[in-house]
Amino acid sequence: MEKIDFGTLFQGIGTLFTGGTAMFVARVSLIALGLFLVYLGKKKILEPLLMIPMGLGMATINAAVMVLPGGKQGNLFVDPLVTDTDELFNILQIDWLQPIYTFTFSNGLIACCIFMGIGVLLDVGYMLRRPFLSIFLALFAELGTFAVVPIASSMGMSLGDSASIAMVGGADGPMVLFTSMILSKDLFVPITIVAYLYLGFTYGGYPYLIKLLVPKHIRGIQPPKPKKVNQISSSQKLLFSVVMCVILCLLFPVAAPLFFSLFLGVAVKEADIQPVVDFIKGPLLYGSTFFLGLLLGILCEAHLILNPKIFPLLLLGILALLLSGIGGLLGGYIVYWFTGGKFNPVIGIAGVSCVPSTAKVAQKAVSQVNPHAIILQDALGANISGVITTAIITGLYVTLIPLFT
Amino acid sequence: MNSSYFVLVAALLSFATGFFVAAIIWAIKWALIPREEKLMSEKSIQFLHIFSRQDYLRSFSVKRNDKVPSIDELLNKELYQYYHGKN
Repeated sequence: MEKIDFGTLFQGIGTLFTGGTAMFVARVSLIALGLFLVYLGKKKILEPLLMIPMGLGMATINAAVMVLPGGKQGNLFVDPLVTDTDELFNILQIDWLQPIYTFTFSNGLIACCIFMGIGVLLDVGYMLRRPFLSIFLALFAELGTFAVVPIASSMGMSLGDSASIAMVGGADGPMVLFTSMILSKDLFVPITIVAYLYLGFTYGGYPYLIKLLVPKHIRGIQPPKPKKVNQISSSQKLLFSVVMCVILCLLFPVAAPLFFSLFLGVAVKEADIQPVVDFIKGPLLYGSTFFLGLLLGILCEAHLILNPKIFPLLLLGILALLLSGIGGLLGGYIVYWFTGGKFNPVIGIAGVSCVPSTAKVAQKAVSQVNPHAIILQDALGANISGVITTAIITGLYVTLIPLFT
Repeated sequence: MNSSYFVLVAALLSFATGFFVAAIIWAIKWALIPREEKLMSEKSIQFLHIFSRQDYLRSFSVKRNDKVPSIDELLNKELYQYYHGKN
């Protein structure tokens, strides 16, 4: 009988020691990080729907490394780098997640499905109540999305890579995925992972940012009630979604799949097509988010963190979110000064479009100082406007960058 | 230089598009206000014009009962409990 050594029999362990020290450290670190993400998901510190498949996927893909025919190391999950159609056809029959990656992830379908789900969950009525105020705050809360582009460029990144990492400032995962898949094909996996990991920052870090930048006596301000509260009818919301979809698609055809998906969700909801609403906000949204998390985890192979561009991406991602939070509060302060101190500037941070997390963070920060102050309606208006402005900026970046390069 | 110029153009276009969106929302709201409400608002302007004198206003004033919450206050409370409770 031929002698079988330990590394050949247990290839996951064997390949740990044959890939070099850097690869060993990277794989072990990613297994540990994956397990830590599962823990954070279980403890609800980060979104469990995303973190549990992502964390387990990350740990598994770095454990399940084997020797493929030809002596190359790899796995039986997915090959994201394959471009040749013949090779792709072969891999589709071998790697079990390749069909999902090829037919839903790499063409943006999964981002659009999630966006459709967001559309169904949004109540655009909050935005329609005070459109100019909501959009104003949301535009200021895009500070990170703008400011990080020149910073990243000055660090040697291409304009496409810079714009993609700057989109993290919009705090909208599907939008980052969509932008980076078009503008930054080589870095879209780490950029999207950075985006989804950092979305938890809006919960953990923004309350401290609010406390740091808004004094207690201003934080507790109860905004005055509007003189007249118009009830927004479902016809108005439906008309809004239809008109907006057509106009934004006319302006930015490159981002039309995103706009269409978002406003289709809103339209279906406002038209009260209940079976479709139930399907989109249930199986479609949850299924898409689950597979997005799973694929992101699976794509976190060890060679990813050995890429020298990863560390700058980690720094720039957090900077983008931080600047967007500061921009939102700045917008809030401008309205505060403009209204003679009657507006609560904390509402501005809700312009960062992490629906509804940032609106909840703003309300919590205000309630801690003044339990009777309710800012949630204005905060949700800014929050929903944030989704629209981030989609507009996505459309602009994707359209403009080819003209600038 | 190139990236700064790009950001400047993108920011300007974003603000312009954003406010364009807000203007369309405002137009939709205005276009879909029920006809009775539009008529009522014209009448209410005339009404205010007639009774804009302070003595008239004083004679019609009623003591406000602060303990009865408005619909807006109830909606706020419901929203607050919904979102606050979830977290």
